[in-house]
This record gives sequence, structure tokens and C-alpha cells, in this order.
Amino acid sequence: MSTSTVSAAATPTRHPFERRVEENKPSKTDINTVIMDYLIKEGYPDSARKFAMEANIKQKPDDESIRTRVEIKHAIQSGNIQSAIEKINELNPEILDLDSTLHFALLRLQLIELIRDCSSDASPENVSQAITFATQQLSPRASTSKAFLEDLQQTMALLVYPGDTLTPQMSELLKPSLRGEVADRVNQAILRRQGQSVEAKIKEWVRARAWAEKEARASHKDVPANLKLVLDGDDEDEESDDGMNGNGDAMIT
Amino acid sequence: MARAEVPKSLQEIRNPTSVSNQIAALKQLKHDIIGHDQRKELVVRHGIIGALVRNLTDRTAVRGKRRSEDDGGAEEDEIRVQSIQIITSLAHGGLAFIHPLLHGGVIQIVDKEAIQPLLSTLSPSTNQPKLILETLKCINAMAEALSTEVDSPEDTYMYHLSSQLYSKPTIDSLAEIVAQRARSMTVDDQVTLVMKIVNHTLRSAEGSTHHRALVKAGVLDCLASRLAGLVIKMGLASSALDQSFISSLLPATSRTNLVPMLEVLATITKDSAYRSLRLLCSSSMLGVFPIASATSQQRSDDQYMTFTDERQSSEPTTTNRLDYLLPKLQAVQNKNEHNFSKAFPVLGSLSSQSDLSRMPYFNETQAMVSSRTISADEFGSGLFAWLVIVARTTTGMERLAALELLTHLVSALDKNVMDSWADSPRNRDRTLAFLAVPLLVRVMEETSSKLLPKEINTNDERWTVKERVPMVLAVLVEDCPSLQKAAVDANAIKMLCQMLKKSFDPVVLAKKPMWSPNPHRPTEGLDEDGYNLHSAALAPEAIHMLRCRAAALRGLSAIAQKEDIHRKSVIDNGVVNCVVESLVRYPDGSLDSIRQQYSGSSQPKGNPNFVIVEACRLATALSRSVSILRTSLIDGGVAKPIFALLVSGSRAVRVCATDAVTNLVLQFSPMREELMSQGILKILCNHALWADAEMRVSSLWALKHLANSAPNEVKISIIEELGTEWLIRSMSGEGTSSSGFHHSHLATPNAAGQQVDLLNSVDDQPGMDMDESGSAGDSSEDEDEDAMIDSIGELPRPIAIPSQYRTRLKAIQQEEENPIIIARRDEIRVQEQVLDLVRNLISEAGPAQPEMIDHLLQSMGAQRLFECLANKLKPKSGSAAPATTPPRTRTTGTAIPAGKRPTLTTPGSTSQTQTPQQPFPEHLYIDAKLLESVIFILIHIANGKPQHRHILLSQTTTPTPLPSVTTTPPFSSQYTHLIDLTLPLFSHPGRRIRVACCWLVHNLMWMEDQSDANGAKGRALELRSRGFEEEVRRCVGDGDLDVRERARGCIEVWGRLLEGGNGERSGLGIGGGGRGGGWER
Repeated sequence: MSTSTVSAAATPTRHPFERRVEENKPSKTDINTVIMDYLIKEGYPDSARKFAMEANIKQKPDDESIRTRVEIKHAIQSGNIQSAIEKINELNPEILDLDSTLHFALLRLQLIELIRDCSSDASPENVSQAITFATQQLSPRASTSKAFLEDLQQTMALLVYPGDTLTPQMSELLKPSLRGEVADRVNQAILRRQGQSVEAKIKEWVRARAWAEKEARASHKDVPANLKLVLDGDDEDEESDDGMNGNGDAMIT
Repeated sequence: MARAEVPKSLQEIRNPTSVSNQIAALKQLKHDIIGHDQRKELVVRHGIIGALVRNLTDRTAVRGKRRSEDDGGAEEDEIRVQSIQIITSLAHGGLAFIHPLLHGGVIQIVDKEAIQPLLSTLSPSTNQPKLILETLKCINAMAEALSTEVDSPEDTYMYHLSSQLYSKPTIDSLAEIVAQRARSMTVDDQVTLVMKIVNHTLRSAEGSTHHRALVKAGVLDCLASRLAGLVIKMGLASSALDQSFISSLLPATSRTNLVPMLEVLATITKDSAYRSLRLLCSSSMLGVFPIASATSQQRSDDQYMTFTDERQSSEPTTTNRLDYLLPKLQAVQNKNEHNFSKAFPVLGSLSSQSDLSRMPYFNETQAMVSSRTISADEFGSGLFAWLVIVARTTTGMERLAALELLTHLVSALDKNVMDSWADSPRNRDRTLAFLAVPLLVRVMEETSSKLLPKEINTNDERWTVKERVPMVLAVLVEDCPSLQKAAVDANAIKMLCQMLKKSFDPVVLAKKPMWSPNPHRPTEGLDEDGYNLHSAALAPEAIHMLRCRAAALRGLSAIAQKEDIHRKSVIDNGVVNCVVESLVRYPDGSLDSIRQQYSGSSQPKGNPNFVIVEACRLATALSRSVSILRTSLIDGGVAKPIFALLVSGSRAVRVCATDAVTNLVLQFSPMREELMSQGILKILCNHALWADAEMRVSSLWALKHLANSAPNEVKISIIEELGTEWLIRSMSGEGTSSSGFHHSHLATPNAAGQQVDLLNSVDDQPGMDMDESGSAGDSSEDEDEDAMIDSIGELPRPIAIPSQYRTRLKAIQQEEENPIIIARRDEIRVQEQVLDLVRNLISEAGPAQPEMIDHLLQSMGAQRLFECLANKLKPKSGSAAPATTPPRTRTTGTAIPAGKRPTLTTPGSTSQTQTPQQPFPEHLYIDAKLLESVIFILIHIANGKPQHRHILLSQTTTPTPLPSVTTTPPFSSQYTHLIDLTLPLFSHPGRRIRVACCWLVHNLMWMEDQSDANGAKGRALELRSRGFEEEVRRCVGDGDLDVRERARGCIEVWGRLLEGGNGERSGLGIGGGGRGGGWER
């Protein structure tokens, strides 16, 4: 009885839910593990090593495997697809052998790079190089599935239309975001092959939190009207940040 | 471009200029072919494989010298790694590439058997982890590709691969790999790959040689240790753990590798009680899941009931912590499940009661009322409960794998383990019925409801789940009516029938053939064998359909195994046509032609063997119902395709087809005539003469049915086809078995006797009366095994099996693997069928019967026949004779379920309390089933003409040499007449035998007509003077109603014949069970 009075007096506006949140402090180790997991999965070897030292985490990150993944990621993001493919094959030849969709995506990216070369320098060599590449590498597989075929057709259209007359759909292909997307897929494929979960745990947590909040509201549980996803200190003061409420996905890029 | 360019690197690889150049070329080629099937084909045609094999063997050859030299070693390793990676990539190209790979000598070079290019670098003590990893990946890729072969001839590539893989020294390397204590991702991957390889190669392998080799090499123990680690990591160990125990375990499997772990354990332990127990009793498993104490195992079921009540009141038991994670199920069981086919009055009084009493529900006199809930302990090992928990908390493949292992363990142990190692099988069945069966059906529902995605990914685990669920369900419910009912209640029949029907829908191939920039044409000059690709596997969609079809058939056959109502429900779902269609094989060569097209949009018509086998099973199950036999099956035209299969090239198909035909040739089957006219008699007789025990039993069984109620000409032609000489020899057991088998000392008779010998349970047999000297022949082998497990490698391994379980395991192992015991068991099964066949030849009462008896006596020679039968009735001399091992009941389809419920009391034990004389020396007699068959032959001979009865009575026999006096009852030696040999059998613990003896007396005294009056009187007098009346009188007080009634009948006849009573009562003198006993198969 007295305790409740005391606590009520101490924090008169406090919602009981928030009190419960305070009572359930997650352990430091758990938080550290999750951060470590994020650093490893997303490919930050140096930060991971430093963090492991600072947070006194015993299990040192497997530097090399992260580094290779980062190299591959960078190669893709910088448009150096051939080297990325070779690196993937050296790491684990089975990844591309068994995932034709991913392989096709990489090859198409490579074709796009070749076409990009053509638009800067439309010499016959460059054009014929792109066409040969498409014939040899992509077209045999394009016939096996409709999705592949459409992808190839769209890509080849880049070669025909000048850069300023592209449909939005086609200009998407030339944007770096496509590289990023493929790089992510490759990263996940490698992680999967290594028997790890493909996603950083923290992403999963954020989604779980969003789901829980949604469920709680749907069943009219007593939760504060405004639950913030406190990602960094700045958010603390922004009372009007409604966009974040129940939208855990905001963090996922 | 007329033809595709050959990669330049190929030239360098074939004729290397320098080591570094070659490495570069290999890498280049690897990048070129990964993901490009057409280029793979091109390089194979240009002879890459030869160069690669050379790379592997060169390295193998110089390895001994080079190992010390560090500089050369690294580069050579690199060449090897690159070469292996190329081979792996080629193998990922699918089945088509396996032929050139194997032919090219990747696994074993032709003519040089000692060289195994790929397998020689597997040992972790001498090779780089990376090299081992790549090698394992390569083997796995090949095994994976091979598992897509749908219609393999007997001697397959897979067989070839396995026999190389699981022979020494490779298997020891595999064992070393799984025994590694290092914790690293590479080691983890290696272990996972070994599990996958074993799983791919042995999942559907015939025979268990390789499985045994794996256990012997210690692989199973290491896997158990790794699993134990995982259990601890998941926090589910059922007992408090010692730190030193935890540190003795091998590194735990990671949670992500749960599926391959469970799969490989299921694959290794499948169908084997020994291997299953070996898993449960391995020290690491016992550490996390101790087995319920030995004392409670010994108790019989009835004792158990009182025992639990006591326990409940007196001592509060320590609850298994797994119990908190399982739903609480009440341990009460009502006994109103009815599970015996009532459609077959043929089974008569003789067969029914004891068969029913084998089933728990009939044995139980009152329902046990208890407020107790079922504890995880009742499974014996906590592993079962753990698997249930895993299955309940996971989805997809993990759930399936857990249920699969659970199922295989339960089924293997039920079929083969003698004593009740679990407290109460009824409660366990209840748990399975509530927790496992519905879960399986739900998995099935999930896979069938969702439409398959347009974007086909063959690695989609849902396909695998869908193909396997019905199989798992089948194994689980087989032989167990209550579980079959549970499956039906969960709506399994409907789902399986839908699945079966859907498997006949045309396959839509999502993947179109590849376009090629170069017109395809054979390359001239390169068509040497070994450079060419084999025909490719069927499209994955087609394979999936076939597997689904086989699985659905299998699931249905297991559910329809026993109950007519379930069979009817299967028929009502309209699948007869599907069954009939599934019985048709591919026309020869059509499969290849379809494959040649590579993409063949048309699904092949017909089925591969593995589908046909399952279709035969379902046909067999359905044919057990007379009404279905006479309606749906005949309408569907099932006889014709099955008949065609009888002469199939595959052994498995032949056996299954013979099983399926067995019920089709019964006298009330409308298909009998049709099959007879096609010449089935000759085919069956031919099959019966084969050496294969399975084949012999099946075809003799079918012949037995064919002989039943057949005209005499048919019966005579059966005798002629088989030959009287062969019949006599088979009856005497001289047919096939090794000559030494009667003298063989068997280490495990009691172990076996306790389990299966439900009919004749003899309480005085000690549980584990091991005859140590008896197993001398094999014990060295076992010592080897233990020694090796403890010593191999430098790494300390966990001690495999705690000593208290060793003897018992050894006994079970003997029972399972000793070829002499297996041969003996087969022999008994064959004998049983031959005796029953002879019985059926003379069993039909009627005017034609005496003629048949005469023919039999004449053609075989009366003296010889009786001598043969007499030998079977005689007790064996000497105490060394093995106790009987009853025939192993067939896995599917016998009227008598295999010892599914081991802890039953039997009528035999009740009667023993009433005849408080010295226990019947059962171990001196042949198997009870055989005794019964022999007596029934005599019964039917006695049912002929009066002179037949006289022949029987006057038949003398050579006196048995006096056995060692202490163990043998003194009476056995004094008999000079055949008939006297039955005297001791009046106190046989098997009630069926006692009834049969009474029938025999009854038939012998039968009075044909008035002219036989004196003869009958004389026979009655003779029987009385020989002491039969005394024995029969004792039977009047028998515990069994049937025996009492028969005995009373006999006493009455004596009274009538000798004391002048002129009773009008008459009865036809044959035993009700004398006909095709146990025809329902």
C-alpha cells in the first residue's frame, strides 16, 4: 500500500507500463551481444574488434570471414562485379552454383556495368563486348524462366535508348541502389551458407517489438498511448514523433 | 559461332606448364563453369575429368614423401582443393554429370581399386581442414545428385559410392572427423557435411551393412555426444548434470544443424533396435536422459498397475522436468478400441483370442482409473519426450525431422526389443496418439494446402516435408490400431487420398530448357565413353510428384493395414484407379528417352520401382477386406498389373507383388481363376524354390492360399511343381540353412524369447541368461569394436556404452546381426509356410480329401513324411539346444502384429498356475508355431478315412536317444509311436497347441460309419492305453475355454465308444483354425 503511494508520488504521470519497463532492465551482456551481432552481420570488422575489447566479450569475431564479406560487398557496390563473383567463388563455390537467381542478378549487374561503359564511350568494341557477354552469360539462363527473361530484356533496352529517355523503371537499373540490394542479398546468402541467421538480431527485435505493440493495442491492453522507440538520445525530447510509434520498421534500411 | 569455345584454361590444366600456372588455370576454369551448366558439359566433353583425377592421384601418390616438405605441400594442397572444387561444381550439374565423374575414376579408378582419388584425404590427422571440407562438400554434392535417380538398377552408382565411403579406411576418417574436439566453424561444417552425406547415401539404401559399419566405427556415439551437448544447450536435459560429464562431451551441434543431426540419427537407427538402443544407451545420451531404472522394466503390465498406485501414494516421485513442457495427458485408458477385423470368420476361434490378447486393449480386463498423468519417464528415455517437445515448438523441416527420429526409434524398439524397457506402452501410445500423430497430419495439411510457388526452388524444404510426412506417419501407425485410428480421426485418409490423386496431375515444369548461343551438336572425335554425359535426372517437379505418390500410397497402406472400416474409407475416396495406375511400370527405355529431352514437358507414363512397391503394399492392405476384394479391386482390374509385376526384374517389386497376390488367390477371390489361367501357379512355385528367404516365404504363403479349397488337380500340380523331395527337405529344415545351425550355440535365445514369444511366455526364463561362451565366435568382433572406440586417434573419446548395458546390447546385436540367427529365423518362417501348405493340401473336408491324403502319402512316401513330422515333434536332446526363436513376424501385413506391446500377460501364463507341475521344457521343442502346424497336418490326416487313422496310430518312430537326464523329462525317450510324441504337448503352455492336441484325439476316435464302429472302438482303446485319456482329462480343467470344450468332447467320445453310450452328437472333426490360419497378410 505504502509502496504504491510512494511510487505514485515520485512519478505521478508515470504509466504503470513504463514502470514495468524500468523494472526489467535488460542485462548489459545481452545488449552487448546484440550489438556485436549487428557489427558482425553487417560487416564492420574493425568496430567489432574494438567493441569486443571494450565490452570485454570473450568470443572474438572471426575477422577473416567478416573481412571477406565486406570485400565482396564493396566490390559489388563499386561495380566491380567480376571480382565480386570470383571472390564469392573462392569463399564458397557452392553459393552461386546452387542459387541461379542470385547468380543471374550478379551477372545482370555486370552487364549493366558494361552498358554503362558504352554510354560513356559507345565504341563498337564496348558494344560488342556487352552483347557477347549477354549472349554467353545471361541468355542461356534467361530462357529458363520468365522473370529472368524480362530482366534481361529490360537491361538490354538500356543499350538501345539514350540515357535521358529512359522510363523510370529502366533508370532504376542504373542507380546504385540496385547494387546495394544485390550486395545485401549476397551478404545474406553467404551468412546462410555459414549456417548463421541472415539478419542481425536487433532487426528481429525491433520487429518483434512493433508486433507486440500492435497486438497489445488491438486487444486493448493498458499501454501508454505513445511508446517511443528510443534509438538515440535526441528522440527523447521530441514528444511529437508520432511517426515512430508502432513503426519499428523505421530502423530497417 | 559454330561451336562453343573451349576455355583456354583447359589446355593448361591438361598439360600444366608450372604449378602456379596450373593453379591459376584451375581457378579460372572454376569461375567459368560455376553456375553455367552448358560450360560444364563442354569441359567434360573435352576431357577435364581425366586431368582432375590425375591431379588428385598425383597428390595421393606423392603424399607420403611430400608431407614433411612444407613448401611443396601447400601448393599441392591448393591444386587439390581447386580440382575438388571443380568436381563439386560439376556434380552440382546433376545426375547427368555423375556418370562421367564416376567413370572417370573420381571415387575409384577402374582397374586400380586401391586408389581412391577423392577419398584419400579425409583424415583430420594428416590433412588440412580446408581440404577435408572441400572433399566432403564434393562427396555431398555427388550423393545429392545421385539421390535424384528415381529408377535405379540394383547395382547403382549410389551403391558404388557407399561401398567405397563406408569401407576402411575411409569410414575411420569419417569417424575421426565427427570425433574432433576442436571448436571452429570449419569443424562444425565438416561434421554437418558428414551427417548430410550419410543421410543422402543411406536414407533409402537397402540392407544395413553400412549402418552397422558406422556404428562400429563409433560415428553414432560421437553424434550422440554432440546431440547431448545440444540438449544441454537448449536447457532440456532431464537430470542434473555433472560438470565433468559436460566437459567430456564433444562440442555441441549448433541449433541450426538440428535437422541434419536428427535426420542422420533417424537414418542410422532406422529399423534396428540395436542401433536405436545404442543411441539411447550411449553414455552421453544417458547422461542427459537417463533410462528408467532396470527394476521397473522387469515388471509385467499387471504388476505395473499396482506398482504405480503404490508409488503414487507412498513416495512422491521426482518429476521429470520435461513434463512441465508437455501437455498433461491422463494415464487412464478405456479399452473400447476395437481393432480386429471381424470380416473374417475364417480366423475362427483358434486364432482370434490369442491374437486379440496380444493387443493391449483386449488383454486388459478393467480400465485403469488413475488421476496420474503420463510422465515423460514412461517412454523409458527422455529423448522421446525431448523430441516431442522439439516437434511441438518448431515448424517445417525441424518438426518433421524430430518426429521422424521419434517414429523410427519407437518403431524399431517395438518390433525388436524383448523386455519392456518402457513402463507402460499403452500410455506411450496414448501420448503418441495425442501429441505425435495429429502433429504429423497437421504438417501434411500445411504442405498440401499451400499452392506451390511459381518460382520453383528445388531446395524448398516444403517439398521434402511433403514427400516425407506420409512415410513417417506410416511407420508410426503401422502395427498399431490405436495410432491408426488417431490418424484417421485427424482426417489423414482424406488428405492422403487427395495427395495421391494430385500426383497424377500433369506436371507443369517451371523451368524451361536453356537456350544456347551455339547449336548443339555432338563434338566429333570426343565421343569416347567417359567423356559423355549420362542422361539427366527427371525434372525435379516430376520426381517430386512420384515421391508424393509413393508416400501417399505408403501412408494409406499403413492406415488400412488392419481395420476394414479404414479400408472402406480409403476406397470411398475413390483412389482405386490411382492404385491400379501406380502398379504399372515404365515401359522399358521410356524413362531414358524422356530424360534425353532433358526438359520433357510430358510426364512419363508409368512408375519407377519405388512407387510400385508402395502401390503393392496398399493393394495388399486393401485386399484384406473380402468385400473390397470382391468389389472395388476386381472392378479396378488390379490383378493384371500385379501379375505382370511377379516377374519384375527388381527383387523388392517381386516380393511385394507376391505379397499383394496372396489374398487375390484365396478361394473367395473372384480373381483366382483369372490368375490361375495365366499360370500363376508355376510362377509362384518357381519363386518358392529361390534362395531368398523373403521371396520363399511370400510365395509359399500365396501357394498356401492357392491350395486352400482348390480342386485336387491344382493341389497335385503344386506338389509336382515343388517336388516332393523339396517339400520334405523344406519341412525338415534342410532346405537352405547352414548345416551347423541346429548345433549353433546362441547367445541370445532368452532375449529374443521374451520379446516375441508372447504365445509361450515362460516365466522361469531369466531375463539375461547370457551364454558367454556361446558368443565366442563373435565376441572378438565386439571387443574390437569397443577397443577401437576407446583408442582410435589421439583424441580422447567418450566411453561409448556403460557396462551395465553392454551385455544386453550385445545380445540384441546378436539377435539382429548374427547371420546364423537370421538364417535360423528365416528357416523357421519358411518351414512354417511349407507345413501350412501341406496342411492346406489335405485340409478340405469332403469326398476329395481322402484321395488327396492318399496322394500325399504315396508321393512323399508315408514313412518319410511321418518320420519328418515325428522329428519335429520330438524334444531336442541336450540342454544346449537353443530355445526357440519364433519367426519374426513380418513388418507389414501379418494378422499377428509384431511384438508391438511387449509387456503382456498371456493365456499361457494363466494356465501355468493351474497346472502346477514342473514347467514345460519349452526350450527343448521347436517353435510353437511349427509344432502347431505339424499337429494340424496330423489332425487333417486323421480326418481322412478310417485307414488313415489307423496308419497314424500304428506309425512307429525311432526312439530318441536319451538326452541328458537332468534337464529332459524322462518320458521323452520311451515313445515308440509317432502319436505318443504329442502326449507331453498336452501341457504345452501354448493354448493353441493344447487345443490342437485335443482335436487330434477327437479326430482319431471319429467314427466314419457303422462299419467303422469296431475300428473306432479299437482306436479309442489304444489311445486310452497309451495314456491319452489321462492327458485329456487334465485338459478338462484347463484355464482356456476352448481347450476345456475340446477335452470334454473327447471324454464324451470315449464314454460313447467304450462305455456303450450311444450319443447322437456329432461334429465335423476338423479344427476351426485348421484352414488358412492367418491368411490375412
